Amino acid sequence: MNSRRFSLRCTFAVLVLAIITTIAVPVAGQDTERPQELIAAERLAAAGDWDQIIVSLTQLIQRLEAGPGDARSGKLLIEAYEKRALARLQTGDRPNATIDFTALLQIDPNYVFAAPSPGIMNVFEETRKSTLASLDVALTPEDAIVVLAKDGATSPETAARIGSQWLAAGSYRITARKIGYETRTEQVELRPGKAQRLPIELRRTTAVLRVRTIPTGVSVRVDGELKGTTQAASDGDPRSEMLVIDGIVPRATPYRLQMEKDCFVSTTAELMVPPLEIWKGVAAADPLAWDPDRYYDQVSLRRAFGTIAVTADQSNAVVSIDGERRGTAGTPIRDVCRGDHSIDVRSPGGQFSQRVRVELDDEVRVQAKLIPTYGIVNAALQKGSPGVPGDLAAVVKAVRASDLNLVPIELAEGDLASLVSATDDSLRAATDRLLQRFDIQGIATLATVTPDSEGRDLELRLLARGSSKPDVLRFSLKNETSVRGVIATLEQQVAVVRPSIGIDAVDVMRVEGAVVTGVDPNGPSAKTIAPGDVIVGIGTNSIVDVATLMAALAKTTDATVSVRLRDKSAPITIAVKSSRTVLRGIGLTFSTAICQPR
Amino acid sequence: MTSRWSSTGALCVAVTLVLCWTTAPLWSSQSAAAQAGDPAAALFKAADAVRVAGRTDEAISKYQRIMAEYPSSPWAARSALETARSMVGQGKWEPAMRQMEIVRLGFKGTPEAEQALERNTILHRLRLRQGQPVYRFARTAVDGRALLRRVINVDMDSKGRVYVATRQSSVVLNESGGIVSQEPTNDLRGLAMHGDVPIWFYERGTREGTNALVSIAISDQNRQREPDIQAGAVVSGEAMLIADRRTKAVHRVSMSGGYQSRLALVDAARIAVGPLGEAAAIERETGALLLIAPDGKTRPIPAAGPGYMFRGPIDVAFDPLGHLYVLERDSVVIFAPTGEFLSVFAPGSAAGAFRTAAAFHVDAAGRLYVYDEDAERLQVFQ
Repeated sequence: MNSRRFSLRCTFAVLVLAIITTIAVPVAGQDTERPQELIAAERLAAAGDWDQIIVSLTQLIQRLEAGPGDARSGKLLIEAYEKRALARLQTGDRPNATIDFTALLQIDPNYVFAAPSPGIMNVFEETRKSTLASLDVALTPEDAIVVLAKDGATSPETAARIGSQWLAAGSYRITARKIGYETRTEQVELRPGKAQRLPIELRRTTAVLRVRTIPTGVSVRVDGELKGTTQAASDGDPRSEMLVIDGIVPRATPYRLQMEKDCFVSTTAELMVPPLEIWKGVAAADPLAWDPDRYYDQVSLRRAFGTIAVTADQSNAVVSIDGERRGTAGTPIRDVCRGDHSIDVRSPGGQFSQRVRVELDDEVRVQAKLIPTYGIVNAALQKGSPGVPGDLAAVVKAVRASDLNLVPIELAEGDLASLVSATDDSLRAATDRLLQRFDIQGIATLATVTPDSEGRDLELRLLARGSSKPDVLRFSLKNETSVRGVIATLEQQVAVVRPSIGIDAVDVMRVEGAVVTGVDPNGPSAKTIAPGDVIVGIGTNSIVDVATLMAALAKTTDATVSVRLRDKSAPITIAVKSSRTVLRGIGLTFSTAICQPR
Repeated sequence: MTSRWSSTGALCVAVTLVLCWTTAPLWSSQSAAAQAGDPAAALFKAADAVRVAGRTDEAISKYQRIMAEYPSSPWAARSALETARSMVGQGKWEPAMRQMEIVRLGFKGTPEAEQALERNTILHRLRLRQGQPVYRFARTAVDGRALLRRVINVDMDSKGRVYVATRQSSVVLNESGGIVSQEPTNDLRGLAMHGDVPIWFYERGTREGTNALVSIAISDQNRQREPDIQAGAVVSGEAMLIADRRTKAVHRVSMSGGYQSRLALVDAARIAVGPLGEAAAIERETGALLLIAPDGKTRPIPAAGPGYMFRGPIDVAFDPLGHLYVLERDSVVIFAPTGEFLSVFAPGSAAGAFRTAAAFHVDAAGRLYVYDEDAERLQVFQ
């Protein structure tokens, strides 16, 4: 007897200890900011003060039920109901403990309860069976997605379990869907304490196309219709994420699949989608017969490059394609995407632009004739200045020259004032700032003036880079002769003529004279001077380096010069060739000063 | 007169451009360098990178872009020089000379103009001067007498000071051969200049100028080991190469002595680094000559070829254009950056003749400073 009493006492003690532990231990994974009531409950459980636990948790439950009803509140409520139920069981209040379990299960019908004893588990499970309904969803295919929504509930659809699950009693709308299959929706009425089985079989309706590409960003079209663009994989895989395209219905003719991206060679494929019937043969030898989906797991697109080879009539001309600097003229640019491109070639002396079409593996040759571009402004924009009434573009059109671009630009009043009023160095500085800003070779201002004897009432003032004195041209749009005169002047080319003996020369340390490095085979020195020779005299001038050689030649006015070479006793006579350098489109006195030719 | 055929064709425009550079402050941006980020500097760095990677045409294109877009930037002059150097690397020495002259005339008074003159002097000596000895004896720079014995390396700074590493001492001499300093040591293994500062290579580490010795630890099969340094060189001021006898390899270490990587399995007795980071090494046991690319790939230079035959290379050096000079006991064999054999300088019995050369130095203008062990003299050839 004593031993039985001892055994009962022990059992009771173990149970109490288990309940204390269940109440006192926070639910795993809960956040650290726990309500005071739960913390107090844990403390009180250790002291066995069940009544006070019930009071404390009741306050918490009331507060949570009046709260926002979010996920965190839901979790806390479940914990509070569970602990209050356990405390009530401890005080012998089973009816109210059942109410707590019922409330808990309404929040989470499939709650996994770690009961401290089989008896308490029985209470919990009995409550579940009597208040909830069981639904067993059998799905074909098994990987379809099922969502359910309770009628009248404001909460969104939730993913449902496949197989058996507990649900609160009520009316439900259950939707099963899978890409490539019809979507089915079923309405079920669940009653408390009742189990219900719901088989759902989805029917195949379309094939699904899955595409993964290298590179990413490839547009995928089916029969010309854009179906999507492949996206970069998040794991660094060079292949894109799988692009899934639904709605490929069976038909007798093939689909035309096209994958394309700028600067890559498009790829096409034909896609047959056979009738639905043959997909049912799961055991068929041909996988395509039972899997209607089509996989393009690694479609690689080849780069579609062509070459643009630009040659320019000025050295070191910078070539830009579609606004991006790509190199210098003379060096072919081999990685130009197929398609239409805008080519811009610039040097300090001029600009050139052209649109070209580049085809795959093709080379487009562009001969750039760089001509200066002047920004033209209407001086009337400045208050008090004599401007040009009417359309500036009309004037630009009238005086258009083939070797000089005039491009209307807009200047702020202060900039224009500095152009009109400044002189010499300040004007040069102001001009150069503007040229830098607009990336042009000169600035032209147009203004009306008092007509002269020939009726010329317009004045065009042109300022080139580095120049402080404008070239001034007068004309009248009513006088065609004067307009032609302006055009002729703008197109005039300045020839810089310099005497030459047709050699290249450099300076070398400890060598007095100009060391010849190259001789023009068609020039006047071809048979008399050789690379390696050292020129030490021209006429009566001693030549100590290249600079003195150039100076001596520049002064030469005779048709021939006497050249003395080191290590050769007798001077040689060489014809002087007048070599002409053309600075195109800058045929104006001051505007020639892009830089002074030697 | 640099303009080819005197101002016809494209080079005329180049000359015009040069003059634009000289007048650049009048019309260009105030200072490209002053702009945030200095795009010219960034582009120059990019050009250098592709040049070192061996994409010379692309590098030249980038250098030319700097010259066109930032003509008033200091990088324009450097770009013009690098363009010329790249051309030499491609074997186009004639346009390189013209390019160099453009730098000389367009950037008067700058260090680049001076370098252009020095480099044209090299090309004139090696390429243009036909039918004449490549070098002539100029003078005796240092009369070593009993002072300089068992010389390992000779080098110079920009002020003309001569630095000599011997088996017994490190010696610094002034331009006229007078001793500036001398420090006895028994574990000196080499010498290389880092700008104007000598880097002395000892058996276990390096010493920069008169600073304390910095020990170097070699990583060998995941262990740190003391090296047995045989020779050393500086890679463009960025790093050092050391030839380690223990691992029979050339290793790359930082200027502060930190170990970086093993460059190549070459047991080198002498080593030199060229302007593009390529190294030349004389193998210790075989005397074979090897070129080591910056990525560690090695390429042997044949012991004999049309016009030359090695009998026992003593020392190696590069000039600023990348020409390779190989010192033998009584001669110097010169190769172009392309690997093409250029010439042999063997003074024979002429003035300044050497028969027991131990070390040499090639300066910025390609002058040779050869130390003859028996004559105990450092002689200059130009």
